[in-house]
Amino acid sequence: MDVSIEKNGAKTLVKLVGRLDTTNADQFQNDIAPLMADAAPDFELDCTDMEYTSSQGLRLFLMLQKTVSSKGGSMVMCNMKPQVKEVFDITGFSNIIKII
Amino acid sequence: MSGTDKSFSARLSLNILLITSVLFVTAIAVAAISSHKLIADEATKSAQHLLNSTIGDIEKTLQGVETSIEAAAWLVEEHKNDVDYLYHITSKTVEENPDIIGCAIAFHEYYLPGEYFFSPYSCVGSTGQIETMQLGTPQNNYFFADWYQIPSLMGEPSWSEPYFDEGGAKVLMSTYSYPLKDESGNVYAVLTADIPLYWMSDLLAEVKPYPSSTVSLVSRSGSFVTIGSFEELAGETLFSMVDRSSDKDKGLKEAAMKIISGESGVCRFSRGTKISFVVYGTLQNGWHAYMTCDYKEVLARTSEMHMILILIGLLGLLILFILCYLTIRRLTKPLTEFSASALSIAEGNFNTSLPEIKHDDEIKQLRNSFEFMQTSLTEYIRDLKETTAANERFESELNIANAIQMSMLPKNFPQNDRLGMYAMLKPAREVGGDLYDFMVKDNMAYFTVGDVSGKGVPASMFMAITRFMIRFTLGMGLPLNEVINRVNNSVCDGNDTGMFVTLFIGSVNLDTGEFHYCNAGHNPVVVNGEFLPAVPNLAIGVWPGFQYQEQVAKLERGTRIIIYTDGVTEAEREDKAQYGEDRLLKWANASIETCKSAEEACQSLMDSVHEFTEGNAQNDDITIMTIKIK
Repeated sequence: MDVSIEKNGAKTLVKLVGRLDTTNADQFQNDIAPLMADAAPDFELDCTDMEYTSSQGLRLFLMLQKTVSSKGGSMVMCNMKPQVKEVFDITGFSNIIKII
Repeated sequence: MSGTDKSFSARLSLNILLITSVLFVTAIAVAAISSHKLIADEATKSAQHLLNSTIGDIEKTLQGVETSIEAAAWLVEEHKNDVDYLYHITSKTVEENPDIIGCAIAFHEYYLPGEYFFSPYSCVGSTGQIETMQLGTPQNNYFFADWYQIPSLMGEPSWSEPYFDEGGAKVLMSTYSYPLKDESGNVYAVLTADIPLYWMSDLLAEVKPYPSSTVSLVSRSGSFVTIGSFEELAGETLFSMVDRSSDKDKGLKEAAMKIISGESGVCRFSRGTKISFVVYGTLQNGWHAYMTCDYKEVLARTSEMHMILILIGLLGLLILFILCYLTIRRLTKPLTEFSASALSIAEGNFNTSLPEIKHDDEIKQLRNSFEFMQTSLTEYIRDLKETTAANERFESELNIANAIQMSMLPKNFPQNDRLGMYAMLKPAREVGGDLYDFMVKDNMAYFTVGDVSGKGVPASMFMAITRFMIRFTLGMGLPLNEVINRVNNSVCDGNDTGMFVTLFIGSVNLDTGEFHYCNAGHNPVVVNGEFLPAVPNLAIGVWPGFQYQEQVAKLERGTRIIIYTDGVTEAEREDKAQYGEDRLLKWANASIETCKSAEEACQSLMDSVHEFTEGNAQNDDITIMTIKIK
């Protein structure tokens, strides 16, 4: 999983590329850790090139969402591939995380 | 080891010796060449000096004779008419100068009226007495003698060629002739002094700087005045001697020519294998002196010197070799010890002591490196032992955890005329995050399959908690959605790590076939080869207070249900291709009917998944539960 973070004013654009699985979940957690520190986060997660996410990945997205919510910020995931979206649907995460 | 050390020391010493020898030989050669030249030059110079001083000695005597004759000439001039006194002059001259053995005043024809010859003469007789007489007789016509004619004609005094006096003293002699002139410059008499030459031979014989060197005196024309031995003198000249020399001799003639050239100098010649040099000079009276010296004798001293030098050198080289050998052996001795230490360390004796090095040099550096290696190895081995021990401990604990987890899963699957059920759980690691459970109570069968996010120990703990809470809550006889609501709220409380569980729970009334179920974010369940429509709800532990929905369906007899975790659908091949839902449905439609029991069905699906992954490492826990309503 390659993560590129781009600040655009108050908005933070995070581009996710590749597979998020057991082998790189820890790395992904480290990559997004700085984002959790933002005061009033406004994230857009670009999932155009995200191929797969494991349940550990889901956990990390959930934690990110919870942090953002607790700080009164907003987070949106966009351009999700159908097979990835399906995982979010099955687990009911699409009810909690805003996916466009 | 000592063999290697020995050869190393010896080899190095020999190399040093070889280089030193080359330098030594070169030095000797240069010294020999330059000293040869120097000594030859010096020898030539000193021979010249010696020759010159010898010439001086001879000239002193000859000049004494000349002075006596000049004094006598003055007397003759004064008393040339006093015949008796003239005899007295000759007698007196012989008497006063011991070098003169004969003195004559040879007047020209008819000096005394009526007398063709007139020549008063005195000489030392055989008894040592001075005898005086009139020399000129028809038998002894001195007018034709060289000693008379040459000075008369030339008008100058001269020394005669050496001759052997048969009649008088019977010795080799030379005569000094002094012309007496009248007022008009005409020669009227020749005053002579005869001197023997043997004393010169004696004198020259003593001049012997080298054993076989000779000094010789030759006349103007090259006749020998003296030579090494008396016998050789009779009629011998330098040139007659040169003519007799063999063809192998070189430079003799040139040397002879140089000797009588009237100059002084030095030149080389060889006779056979003998190479000599000759120094030559000329006396005031026109005679020539020369000295021959054999180079071999001249350089004998230097050869001796060189021999001593070579001996000293060889001795020095020997000492050098021994010192080098001993020093190198001493210096390389620690290497032998190091070798032994290394062997000892290699055998596992990490406390092996290293040789002590006093000097702060390369060997010392080697020792320090060695010591560092030793301590590093010791630490490394100790760490390795500790790590290994820790790993073993950890592994054994994990094995225990695995055993605990597996023992928590129910094994007594209901197998009767109404219900067939079986479940398999295969963790990706020692312990897993999947769970299954079932319960049969009267005519009700409850079953659940769940998957905790992640795997390993954290997931297994979460799994144990969840399973316990479900069992506990189910026992309260609540509807399924209420069971999940309560479990969700409990799990959310204090869930800081964001872990969650997807879970499917269902209950079947075996009498009526009424099927209640709740899907908490879990994979869709396959019922009779099709996915069971389900409200997705939300995974447990994600959102506190979430209201889960329960659904109801009616199951016919013969219905087959497959509940699984994503370890099945997301099982991956090496090329990242996943088993997927399509393969699952395909298997459910094609193969499940051939399975005789729920256990066989479980195993068949597991085999299908393994067949697909082609031995690729399992990356997630796999749980399969199959149920058949009979």
